[in-house]
Amino acid sequence: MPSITISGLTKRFGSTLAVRKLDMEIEDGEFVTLLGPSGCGKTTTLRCLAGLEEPDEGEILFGDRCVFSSQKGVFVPPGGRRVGLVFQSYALWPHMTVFQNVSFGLSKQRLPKEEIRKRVSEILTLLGLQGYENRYPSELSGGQQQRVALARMIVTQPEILLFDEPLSNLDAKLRMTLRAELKRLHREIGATTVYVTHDQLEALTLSTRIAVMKEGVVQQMGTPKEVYHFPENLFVAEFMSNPKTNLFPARVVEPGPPAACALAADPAVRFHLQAGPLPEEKPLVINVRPEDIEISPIAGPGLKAKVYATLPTGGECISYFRLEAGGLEVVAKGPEEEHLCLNPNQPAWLSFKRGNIFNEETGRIIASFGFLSGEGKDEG
Amino acid sequence: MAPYSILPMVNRHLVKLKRRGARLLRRPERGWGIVLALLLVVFVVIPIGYMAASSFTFDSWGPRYVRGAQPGELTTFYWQRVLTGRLARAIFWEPLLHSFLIAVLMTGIALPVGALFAWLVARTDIPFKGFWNSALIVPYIVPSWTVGLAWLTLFKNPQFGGQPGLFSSLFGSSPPTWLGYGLLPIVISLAAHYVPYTFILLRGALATVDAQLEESAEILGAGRLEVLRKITFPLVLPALGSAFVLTFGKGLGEFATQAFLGLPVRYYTLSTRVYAAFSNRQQSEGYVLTLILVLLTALTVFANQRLIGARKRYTTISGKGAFRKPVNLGRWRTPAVFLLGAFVLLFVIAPVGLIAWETFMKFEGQYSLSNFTLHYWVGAGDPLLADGQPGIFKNPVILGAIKNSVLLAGLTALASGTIGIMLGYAVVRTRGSLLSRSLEFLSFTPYMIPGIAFGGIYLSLFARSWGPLPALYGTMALLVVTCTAKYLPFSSSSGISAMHQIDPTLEEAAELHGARWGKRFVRIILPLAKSGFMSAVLLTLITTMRVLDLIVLLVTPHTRTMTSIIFRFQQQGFTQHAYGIMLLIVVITLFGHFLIRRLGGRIEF
Repeated sequence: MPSITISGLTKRFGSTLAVRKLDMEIEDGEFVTLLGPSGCGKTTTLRCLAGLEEPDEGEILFGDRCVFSSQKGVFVPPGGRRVGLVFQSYALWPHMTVFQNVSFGLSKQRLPKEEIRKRVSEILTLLGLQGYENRYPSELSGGQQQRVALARMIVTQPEILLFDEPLSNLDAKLRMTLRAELKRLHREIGATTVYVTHDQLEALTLSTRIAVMKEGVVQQMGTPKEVYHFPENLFVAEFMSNPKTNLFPARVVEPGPPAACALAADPAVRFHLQAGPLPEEKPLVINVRPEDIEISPIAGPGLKAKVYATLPTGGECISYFRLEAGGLEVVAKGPEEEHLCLNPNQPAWLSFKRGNIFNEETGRIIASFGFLSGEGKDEG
Repeated sequence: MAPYSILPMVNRHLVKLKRRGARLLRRPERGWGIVLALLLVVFVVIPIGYMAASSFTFDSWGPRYVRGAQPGELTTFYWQRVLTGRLARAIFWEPLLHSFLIAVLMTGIALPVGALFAWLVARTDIPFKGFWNSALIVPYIVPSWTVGLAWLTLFKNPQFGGQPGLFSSLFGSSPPTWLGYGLLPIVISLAAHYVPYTFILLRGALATVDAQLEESAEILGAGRLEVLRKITFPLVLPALGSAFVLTFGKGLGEFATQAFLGLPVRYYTLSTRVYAAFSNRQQSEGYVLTLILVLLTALTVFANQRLIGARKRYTTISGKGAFRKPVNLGRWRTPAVFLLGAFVLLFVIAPVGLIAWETFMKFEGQYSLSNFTLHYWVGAGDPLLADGQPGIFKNPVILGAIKNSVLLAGLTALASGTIGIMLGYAVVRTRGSLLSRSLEFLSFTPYMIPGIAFGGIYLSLFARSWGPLPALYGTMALLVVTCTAKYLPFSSSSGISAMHQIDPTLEEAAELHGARWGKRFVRIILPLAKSGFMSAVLLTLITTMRVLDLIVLLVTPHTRTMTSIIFRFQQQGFTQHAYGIMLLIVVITLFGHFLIRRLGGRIEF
């Protein structure tokens, strides 16, 4: 299976730049997710890989085979690229049966009829679709349609698998099951896979690497762990978090190490960090994930806050607080038993375990760190 | 049973009745629906039934054909006369053949041309798309007989009345009759009118084909032609079939073009036969012919329903179809532009230009500058020109007709707009009930009846009084009722789709605030349905402005409209006047259409 090399890829639609100067290396057999909000250029990138869109500039290599190059004037049409694509809508041909849909690509390869029949039925069995050969797509459930689309893609044994939000038309439970199936399928086939989604959970669960995109530019590319724990900029930090992550504008008061920062909203609130030295004059943003906050209903170390609301989800709980100092809103997520004892308007003490600091102007990361302590004015 | 048990029973019924009454006030859609259904029965079902029954009875002329026949007596005489009698060939079979020929040939031209245009505009990189989208549909906005009338100015033959056309004055000899009248010009003029119709239908069908269906095939290695053949074509096939049947059905019922280009050479079709029968007061014969015409058109409509059913099977989840790479026409770009340009030139610009030119000619057929005159627009009567008819803007008869047309169109538009909204409300809010289905079906019925047949039915029905209802023949009210009933399918379908877009919860929210039904309707429903209502009203307005077949049998000197006066003037040889009024109608319909587009309305009628 080939690797994919994208260099300097640019695609415009009229005057809007959908993808700008994108560089990306995808290893042989990898499962890479293009993740980002709608309009970030992820689907366009995928369509450029498929050959459905002709880029304006750049080069795309599959292994050492060039499928597109603006300089050399190479453009291999979609049919010649040995790629498979599953669309969000599945794009099953409504006027053809399941068998006709799946065998379409094989009949293009001029295989003998018997061979086609055998391979289609193998694939349908693999995907649990045996017995549905003569059904029309409109007679299948959403999950079955999705599987037919998968079958149609892999039956021709493409070297590269492309997915364009394939699970977003399914309900939550089915989505989970199919995620597991996709992961399993990728492992069995081993084809290099590029997967487009706007769902960060999907990206985290499926990928070997994630590329987070915004406005046609890759913000960060790395393993799910890297992208999740060490976001390179504010956009990635915000996009990867669910619920919305905590961002506190702050200033450096002690460059360190260990450094100390004061909240912009209330300079009396200070954090001591296992980091430094920090640039002193620039405004910063401190990012603390909801799950990196510990809560205590009894007075102790940490920042004093008032409970605003608790949202138990069964097993896990998300709680909203308002800091006494500065009046900032804080979201925390943790095991339900830690949160359940909290009632609205009750005081609670929050201590932060770890976080990231970003430059407020550029949004670039400055440091990742552990908290030594946080303290506020003693109201008592 | 012991007597004391009756009282609670009566009481229970009373409570039930009271509850029902309260519900009817709170949710009046059912009561409303029933009233509308009754109206539809009176104005649609009964007329057809009455006509069917009358076709089996002798009319007032009966005694002249059959000795001893009494008017009103039961008979199969007319059916025999039309289908198997000595004159059956001339009265029915030959016109039927002509109607079929015209419809088949016309559809055979309009469908492929419309399909090609639709594909070019919807799917390729042909330039000036916006222009083509508006220009190509103009022939469908103006009256269907515009091209037919323009055709006459070119190939008119003095042998059949009037002055020579442009052909004669250029070549000094009369053009062959087959070129000027009959099958060929009828087919071409109607095809020009219906190309935009198939174009609109198929453009819509192509737009609903998900681009990803084609891209999937491309990725699996299919070439462009193969994608077109194996994916796109099968997917739009039901729409193509539907377009064929619909166009064919409309072609069967067309009247005006057949009258202008066929009657001078006695080239009869079913629709002109219906007209002839009624205007010769051969009513029962007219009923028979009308029923057959209705039956044929209804068959095409049912065939279309089947095809639409087949299309529904093809709808699956559709994704974001936003991306669609237009097909690169390459070296075919210029020829394609020329093709569309030629159509616009020949069937939009030229006909209107010829019609306009005609109105400025003092003597017909003399194409020179010295022959230029404004006489037919603003001149006072001149006994030497057109029997002394004054110019259009000085002519009390024409001005009266313009007034009548405006009045008729305005009243019809208002009436059908209002009924459409009420019908839509009743249908949507009682969705799933028998009432809802029968309302929808009944309001659609007039679609199956060609205009000339519809006029014939109303002529016979309302020439006499019915109980409290006075004889309406000769009144403007009859014309308004006829047009409103005939255009009910359009107004009710736009009413239904407007109501579909208003979620019932919007009304329920107002109900929770204590708003009564009347207030809810005025404050919530009407404002939200406004744009749908307005475009339905305007659409009916321009359709009524240009209608001829529907009212040609019903007008009297008092209720003459612009279209009926064109028909009469054209027969009397007052060509310049007729063409001048035609030009006014063209301008009005185009302007009305422009307004609808500005309001964001649809134009599928």
